Amino acid sequence: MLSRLVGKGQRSRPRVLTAVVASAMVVSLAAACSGESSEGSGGSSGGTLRVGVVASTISTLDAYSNLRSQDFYVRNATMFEPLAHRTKDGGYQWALATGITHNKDNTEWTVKLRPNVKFHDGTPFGADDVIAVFQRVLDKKNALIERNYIDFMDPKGIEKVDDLTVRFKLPKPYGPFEFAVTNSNIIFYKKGSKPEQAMGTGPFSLVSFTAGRETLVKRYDGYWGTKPKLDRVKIISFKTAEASTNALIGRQIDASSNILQTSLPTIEKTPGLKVMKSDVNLKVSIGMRADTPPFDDVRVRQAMRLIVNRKLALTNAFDGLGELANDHSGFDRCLPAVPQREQNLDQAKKLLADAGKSNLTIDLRTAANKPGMLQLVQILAEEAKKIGVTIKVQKMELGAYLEKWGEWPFYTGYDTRPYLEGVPEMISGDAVLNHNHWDDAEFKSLAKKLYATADAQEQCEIQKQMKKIEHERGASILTATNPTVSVYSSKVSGLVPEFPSGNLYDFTKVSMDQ
Amino acid sequence: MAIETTTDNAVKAAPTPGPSQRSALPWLIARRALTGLVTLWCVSVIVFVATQAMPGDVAHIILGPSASAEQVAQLNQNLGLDQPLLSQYWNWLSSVLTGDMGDSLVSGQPVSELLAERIFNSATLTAIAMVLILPLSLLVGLLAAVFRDRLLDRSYLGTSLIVTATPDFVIGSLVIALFGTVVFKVLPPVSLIPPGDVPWEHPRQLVMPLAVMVLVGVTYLSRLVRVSFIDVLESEYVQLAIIKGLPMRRILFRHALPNALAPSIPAASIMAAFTIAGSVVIEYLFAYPGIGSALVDAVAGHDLPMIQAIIMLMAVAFFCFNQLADVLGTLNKSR
Repeated sequence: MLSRLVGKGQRSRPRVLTAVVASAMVVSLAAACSGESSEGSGGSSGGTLRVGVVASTISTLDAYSNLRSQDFYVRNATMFEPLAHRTKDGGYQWALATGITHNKDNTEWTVKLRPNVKFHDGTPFGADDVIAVFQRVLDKKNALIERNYIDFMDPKGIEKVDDLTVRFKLPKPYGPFEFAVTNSNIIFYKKGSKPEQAMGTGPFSLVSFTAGRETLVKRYDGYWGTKPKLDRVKIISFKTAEASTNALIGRQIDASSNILQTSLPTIEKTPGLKVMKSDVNLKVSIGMRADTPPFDDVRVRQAMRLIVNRKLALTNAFDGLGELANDHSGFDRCLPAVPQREQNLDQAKKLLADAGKSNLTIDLRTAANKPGMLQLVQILAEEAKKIGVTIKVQKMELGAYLEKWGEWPFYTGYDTRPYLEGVPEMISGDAVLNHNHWDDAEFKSLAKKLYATADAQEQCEIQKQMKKIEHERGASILTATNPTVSVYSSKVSGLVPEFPSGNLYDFTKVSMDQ
Repeated sequence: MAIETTTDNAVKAAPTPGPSQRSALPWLIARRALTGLVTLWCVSVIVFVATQAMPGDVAHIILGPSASAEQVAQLNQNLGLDQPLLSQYWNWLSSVLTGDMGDSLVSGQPVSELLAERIFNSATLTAIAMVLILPLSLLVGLLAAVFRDRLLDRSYLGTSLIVTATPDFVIGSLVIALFGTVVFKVLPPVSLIPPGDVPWEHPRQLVMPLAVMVLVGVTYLSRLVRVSFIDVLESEYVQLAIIKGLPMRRILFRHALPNALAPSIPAASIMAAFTIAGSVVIEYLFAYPGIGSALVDAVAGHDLPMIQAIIMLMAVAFFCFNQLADVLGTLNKSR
């Protein structure tokens, strides 16, 4: 409650104070408030699809903006393309490249680019554009996350062979080169173009962009691939998943992957709306810092994994969406032959007693920045009480949480990356990247072999062994894998969840009943 | 919303501009302008200190958990956040003094560009809300005073107490569920104003946010009007008018209304200032494209230039409405 106490002779100070306090209130208030396809191939061509995304007011058009909310990914997917799209079977669907070859010892890789590809201004796409993008990503000054995926490259070793051929000379052998350079975030724009031009080669070109509000793109008739049926796609930004969900129910948008999962029962009862679930692609994790007591003892880590009731977590924390996970990273390919871990409180109690950690009390920090995260840790804490373990859940503001990321002994995180992208962080010496500080000699040795071979079958066999080690003595509790849930209007057909994110990025096959 | 204004004090506080004081008018204006500038400077310092005190840094928030320490350090350097705090503040202040609100730390775009349309949208929403709040408050307050202690008045007091005690966020959520998503589904639950369009071109999108703002505003202001009216109706001159047999309508609108309005007008100015501050919640809830929702984003991203610009705008508006309250109070007293 504010009182305006104004009297003669004391006017200035209280007024200054009032405005100052009111401003502080406003700041505080603001701080309190961070596999299927849509069935049917019918629908006529043309029309504007309105897609809802959660986005920041301060997003930009730069294809490599450091700020990445959901609008960034959807916008980029419509206007820009990678060298290839990864497929569920571990293969590649070539996009801006037509093939990649390598020498015998995997130190020299040659990328052949697709001919007759044109940017949205009609100029041809070629080797110079590819080299410019890789140089930008590799430049440490730009602090781009994509560098983590290709930091095995030497910027000086990238050379143009001809207009449609680029050669990469690597300082040391690297097997999964194709996998690394086909990361869906490594996309190509015209060399020398300005970010605000969004000069890509994708199926849609830019019409207008208003930060944090709307991006409008139109069909690019000069597209090299199958041309979209839609005339336009309007990507509408919302601050929260609640707003996006409300807009869907209110028919203000046609589709969104950013919906409030707790609203699914309401959505399923709403006529004219359909729900689409992707393959599982998200693992919410509970990390245990393996170089710090009590988790430097593998028995304590295993005990924690045995305390959690995975079935309860899947049902109650993740609304029954997804599958049980088994304490190893990666998704549905190259799985190890290990039994599904079940809750076993007696064994957990014994392991803790053997480690001299009975009646353990520990803080567990979470930013609750993914659906189900807070509920998951609460379930763990409740189950732990049954064997005398006290887990104090501390929910934190995201900024504060990230500031000490890599330092927390017991914490939550999440993983959406394919295994080959995640392993470099797991073996990294960087305390931030290898946030649970797990250092396993056998795992590292296998990782070395994994990245030295280009043979997919051999990679898969090595992955199975590595996942088995994670299951046996890793430092993460992984209880469930979740899909991305999208909701769309029944007048829309042809929507496909993108692999691996499960989001709605591909609108080339979409049509709408007018 | 909980606001308490001592309107009588506001009236007393304002000096009466008589002939003897006219020569002092330029000095008075200069003093108030100076007070305003000092206020804004204080606000800027507090916002700067508060933002610095917030846990977490911009680079971490932008890059997320996958960023190495080296990448975070590089981005901090790129953004100029590795400089001493005083130097950062001075850079910002010197830019503002030359009319440049700076660039967003997160996107690198000019703050003025990011906020221009949003300022207009927020001003429109607040202005329409105030245009509705003032006459409605008057009407409701007058009716409640006339029917004092009867069922209508008691029902009104009970309802207004509940509304005042309920956070705007809760009222907004209930209104969305009732009219937008769950029960009736007759109004758009989200205020989607396309970029480039003015808000009044999309009146349906404005109904729900305005309804909440008006409901909250009217329940507060009408209670002040009610109290003023009751005071006036109990005064000797109104009692005399009743005894003399003047028609009730004439007594109410000719004699009671001007006197009952006087203490409420400065309160209405303060109300307008608080409506601007309160719009942060409403805009966020209804995804209305104004400065309030931008502020929530900026705070989450620790985007200091954006936070400073928005808070300064709100502080200027707040200060101006305070001055207006004083002027209206002064005019009333002189009358």
